[in-house]
Amino acid sequence: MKNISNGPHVYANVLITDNEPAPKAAKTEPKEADYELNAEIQDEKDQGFLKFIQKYYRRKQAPPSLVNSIWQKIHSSSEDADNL
Amino acid sequence: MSSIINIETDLEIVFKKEIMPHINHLYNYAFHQLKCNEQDAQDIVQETMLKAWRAIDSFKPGTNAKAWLFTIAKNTYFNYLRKSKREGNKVELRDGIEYQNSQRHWNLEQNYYSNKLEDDVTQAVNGLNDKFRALIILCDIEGFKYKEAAALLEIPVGSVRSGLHSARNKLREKLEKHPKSNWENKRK
Repeated sequence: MKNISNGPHVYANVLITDNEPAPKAAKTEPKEADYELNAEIQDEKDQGFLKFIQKYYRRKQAPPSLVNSIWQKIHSSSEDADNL
Repeated sequence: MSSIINIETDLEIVFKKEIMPHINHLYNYAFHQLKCNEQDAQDIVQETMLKAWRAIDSFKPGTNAKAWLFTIAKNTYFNYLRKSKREGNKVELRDGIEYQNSQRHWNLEQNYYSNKLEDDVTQAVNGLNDKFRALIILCDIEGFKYKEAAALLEIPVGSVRSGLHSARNKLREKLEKHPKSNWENKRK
């Protein structure tokens, strides 16, 4: 078993200090404006494809019964509030 | 003789003008992305709309109602998932292809080519993994900005951008059996 509490520690400390890696350059996050610009450029390149997808993608419509049900609940909650 | 006069409150007018127009977008997203069937999608949408109604006085007219509504929907969905898990219901994100095969009710006799394209495009989008499908529907179908999609999906904007790039490439791969001219010639 090694004795780790003797002299070489001093050297070890020095070595560690000497071999410390140079601090890394601060990582610069792209600015929000860069993302927007890149997004626009990318979207421009994909424009034809996006139009194609938007044209043929089958959108699902909310059924009228759902819309009616929501309005009924809204109206009844308004009436309840008025009656308080 | 009595008459029923339906007087809309100011808040109802705001709700009608600003929030209700987005119900189809919300339903489309819920149906294709969040849940596996119409009933679940309807429950999510209804609960979202009622929450939006209860919070309507905190909504500033003229601001982005769609993003506001979708944020409520996201929270509603996660609550719904937790509740379903507690109750032991099996809630799964649906398999797009399975859904597509079971739900088709369009007339293949008419407008065959157009319908075939619709089938293929919808199926290709629905066949993407959850993340890619969400990105395509939010950004490319529903028109959310990258920043808005990032907030909704709780991921960095850079991940939206790179994910969308990969998702579009996946879609192109899936649709490559269609002549490239289908989308190439639509470029200006």
